[in-house]
Amino acid sequence: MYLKKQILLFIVIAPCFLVKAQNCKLVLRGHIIDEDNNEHLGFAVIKLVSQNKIIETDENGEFVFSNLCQGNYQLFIQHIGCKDTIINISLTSKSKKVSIKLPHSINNLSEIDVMDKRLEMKKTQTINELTPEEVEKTKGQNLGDVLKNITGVTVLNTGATISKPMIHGMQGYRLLILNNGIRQEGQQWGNEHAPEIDPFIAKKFSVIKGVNAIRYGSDAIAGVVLVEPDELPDTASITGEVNLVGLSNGQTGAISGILQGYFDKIKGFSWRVQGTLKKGGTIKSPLYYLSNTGLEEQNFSYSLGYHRKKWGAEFYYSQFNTKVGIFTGSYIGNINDLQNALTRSKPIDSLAGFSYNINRAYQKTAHELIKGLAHYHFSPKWRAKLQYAWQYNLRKEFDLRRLTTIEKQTGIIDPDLDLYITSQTIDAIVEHDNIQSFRGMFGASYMRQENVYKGRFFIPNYINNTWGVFATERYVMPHLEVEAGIRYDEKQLQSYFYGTDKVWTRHLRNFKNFTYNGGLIWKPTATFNLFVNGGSAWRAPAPNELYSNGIHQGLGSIERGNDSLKSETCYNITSTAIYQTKKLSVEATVYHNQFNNFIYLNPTNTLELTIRGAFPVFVTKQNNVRISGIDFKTIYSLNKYFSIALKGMFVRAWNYSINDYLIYMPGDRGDAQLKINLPVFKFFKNNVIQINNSFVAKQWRAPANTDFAPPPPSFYLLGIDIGTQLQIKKQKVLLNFSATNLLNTSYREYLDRFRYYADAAGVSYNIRITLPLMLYDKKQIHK
Amino acid sequence: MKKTIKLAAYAVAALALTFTACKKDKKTDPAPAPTPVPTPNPQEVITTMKVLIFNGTVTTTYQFKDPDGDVGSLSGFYGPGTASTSTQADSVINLVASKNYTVNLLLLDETKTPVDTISKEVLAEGADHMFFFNQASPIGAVPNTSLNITGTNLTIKYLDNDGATTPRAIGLTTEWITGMMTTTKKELKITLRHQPGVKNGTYAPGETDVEIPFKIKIN
Repeated sequence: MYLKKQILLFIVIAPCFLVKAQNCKLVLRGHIIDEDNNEHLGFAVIKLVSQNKIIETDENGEFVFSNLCQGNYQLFIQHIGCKDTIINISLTSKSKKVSIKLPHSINNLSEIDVMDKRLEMKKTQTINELTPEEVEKTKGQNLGDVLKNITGVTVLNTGATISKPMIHGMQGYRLLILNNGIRQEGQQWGNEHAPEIDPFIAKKFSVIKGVNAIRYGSDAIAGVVLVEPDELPDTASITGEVNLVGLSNGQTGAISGILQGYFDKIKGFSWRVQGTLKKGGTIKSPLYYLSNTGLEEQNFSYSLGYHRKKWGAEFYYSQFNTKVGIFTGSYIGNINDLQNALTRSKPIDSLAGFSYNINRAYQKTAHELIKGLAHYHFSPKWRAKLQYAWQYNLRKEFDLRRLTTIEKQTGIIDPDLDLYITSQTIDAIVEHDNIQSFRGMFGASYMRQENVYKGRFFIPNYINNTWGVFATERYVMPHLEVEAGIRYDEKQLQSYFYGTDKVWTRHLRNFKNFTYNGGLIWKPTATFNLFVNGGSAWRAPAPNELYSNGIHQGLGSIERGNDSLKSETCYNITSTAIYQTKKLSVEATVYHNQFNNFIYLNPTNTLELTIRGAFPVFVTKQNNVRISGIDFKTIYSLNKYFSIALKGMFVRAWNYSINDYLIYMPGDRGDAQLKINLPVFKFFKNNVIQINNSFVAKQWRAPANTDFAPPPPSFYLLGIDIGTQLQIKKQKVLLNFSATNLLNTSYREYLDRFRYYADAAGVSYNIRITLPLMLYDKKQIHK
Repeated sequence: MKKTIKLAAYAVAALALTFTACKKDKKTDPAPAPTPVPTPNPQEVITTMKVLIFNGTVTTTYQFKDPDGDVGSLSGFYGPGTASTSTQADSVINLVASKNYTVNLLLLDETKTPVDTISKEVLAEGADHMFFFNQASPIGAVPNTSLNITGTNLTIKYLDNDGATTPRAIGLTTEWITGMMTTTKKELKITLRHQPGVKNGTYAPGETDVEIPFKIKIN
């Protein structure tokens, strides 16, 4: 995060006690090098704050300020790949030469990632990223709940075990998730489909928007979520990490391990293996168990890297497998059942008690990813990258139903809904560094996706071909950076319907459009930055929006797609202001999204009679809407022990066509955290106690008479986190104890689909243990 | 290193090819349908509910059909009589005052050949199922489980038994006992509840498998 300085700075300053007459002919020379590899850091921007002088280092990392007077100076240093850094220097009678070591946050090993980040570093929209501390505290949670800690992100839940991230009130198709650089395909079909990603793989969780998101696709209307592992090691060593997590609610346990290394015998070759096992049982709300809410997860991944001076290649494989029970109380037959469920104070279930068993209904999901990546440096300023990925997503849903005679006899039970989706993507990118202050990249991408289903119809078989080209450029000046990007995409969706007459029919839709985006960043002083970004985005309607037809299990409604939907387009403007001093940091974002043909499910107020009784009908519709809002975050450090953080998120959305609010937008929410840093005590270092207060206001801005139940009331949750770091001989141990919903408050969240049936999860006491491992290290220089 | 460059070159070529290929697709016939062929509903679908009313001499059949399963369209009432093909939005079961009827409920899956009789499965899993009338819970233990339908002069007595440790009625076979004549029609909603592990003789637990709003009139 912007607010946390993670960069250590080493500066050699000779102490000085002499005071002499003013001499304004002093020269400050400096040399900036990369702490990790002693490389000279050329083209770093250095600002002498009081004088408002700005210079760049030359190719050898050298800089000179001349004609300076005696006194104290503050240097503000920026370098691509590093975060903005402030250092203080005092000049006495003599001219001075300083040597500044910046830990280049990106290792030279994975140059391709260096390139990526170089472009993401100074951009016209802020990076919202979890701090390593926050990553540590959220271990063992699912991806949605991890991302929730980023300002502007909320989640759309289906009970306690399934959650999808939502940015500024937009989710699903309007949000792209990049799993290790690859678009995660297959998670968008429904609200109860969570992204199939193991958060233990990742070390970095961030949300990007604006020009920088353009390279990933046109449909990142709300933004792009990047889930990235650490870079592969680049020094001869074998390191690893073991994570153990226990959560009292659901008696959930998780174990995850990483092992990685670099062979000194084969220069440039590095590797990593990683795996996670997780198992949880019945979740308990404050007053009762939520039967059949267990989950199981088995994941593993490995990666290989080979890097030479001018080129490199990487290979990555990952697999994610999960089985999630669907809360029995949510399983309803028709609208009467739903209404009865709504009037009950607690779900009826004689089986409710703790169990690790997962009964019907449940979902079984698997996701497999194979990725190959190569990059080549044509010249110091020009690079190319080529990436191919193959991913396979499988989803089997087992409904709660009577087994047929044949199923009982044979014991072979087919899933009621069985979807396979195979996606192949190719991305080619060429990028260049500083050519007369211009930096940019252009490229092309192609995706072919095939979907095949068995069982109950939800979406048809289809083949989806998408291709796009894009270009982005940035012009960097000392106080101002300007950035612009453009993209063109075409999408062809060929669907195949298998009729009751056993004949295939086809339906073809083509979509194409431009995406453009521009922004600027203004840095008038070292303490104040202003980011402004505006542009357009669009997305083609998805197969389920076009073609779904049938009862939505568990929601008591009939959903019908509309095969003549047009593309949804959005114009947006976002502005972020950051003010940052040693004691106080304030960050505020204001955004506005104007949608044409926003696609959503609209209730029709008609009931349709089926053999199961009457169901309300929902039809996919397009309307013009707006979504705007404000996020803010502020941190104030009282002293070295106490700091206070305040966060707020406010979303306002309006549907012009019905002249009413837009449905399913997050209610206003605020967080207040008190953080206490305790001094080192014996073996305990980094002792932190954090008290979390979160308040979510009732979402009264919901359209009238369209929901099955009114939005639930406001609620307040209390949580506590206690973290410490132990040093037992050479072994470091990171410990974290926490409690969520400490007051065991009964509450229901508006954006939880199961709020119709039951309260959300009650108190949970959690323990997290992280053991960093150092099995072998040639240089013995690492921590 | 050379290999990688070569590989990269191939990939670029492939990329270029796919772009042009995709343009061509638009002119010619698109690719064939993906395999495998979807298996439409291997699971059971309840398409039909028949109410067979036996007055001692003849059986009158009232039925509701939803031929495409629970997708919603095409559904309607057929009958009385078995051969009727036209759908009706409403169905009135006509009963005669002060009479006893034996009523059997039949559930069919007519998407299968031969037609699958779902009511057999319901009987086999009697301990997990129960029929209810107007969502009301009957009173009395088997074999004396019965219910007075409020708003009209009809008593329904459950005649079957699920054979569980605590035996309870199922409702596939019932006796309908009519009282005095009524002047208006009254809704009689017949609901099959699937109550695996939670059946307790009342309506509330479980979820609805079948629910048909018939009407009755006592003449």
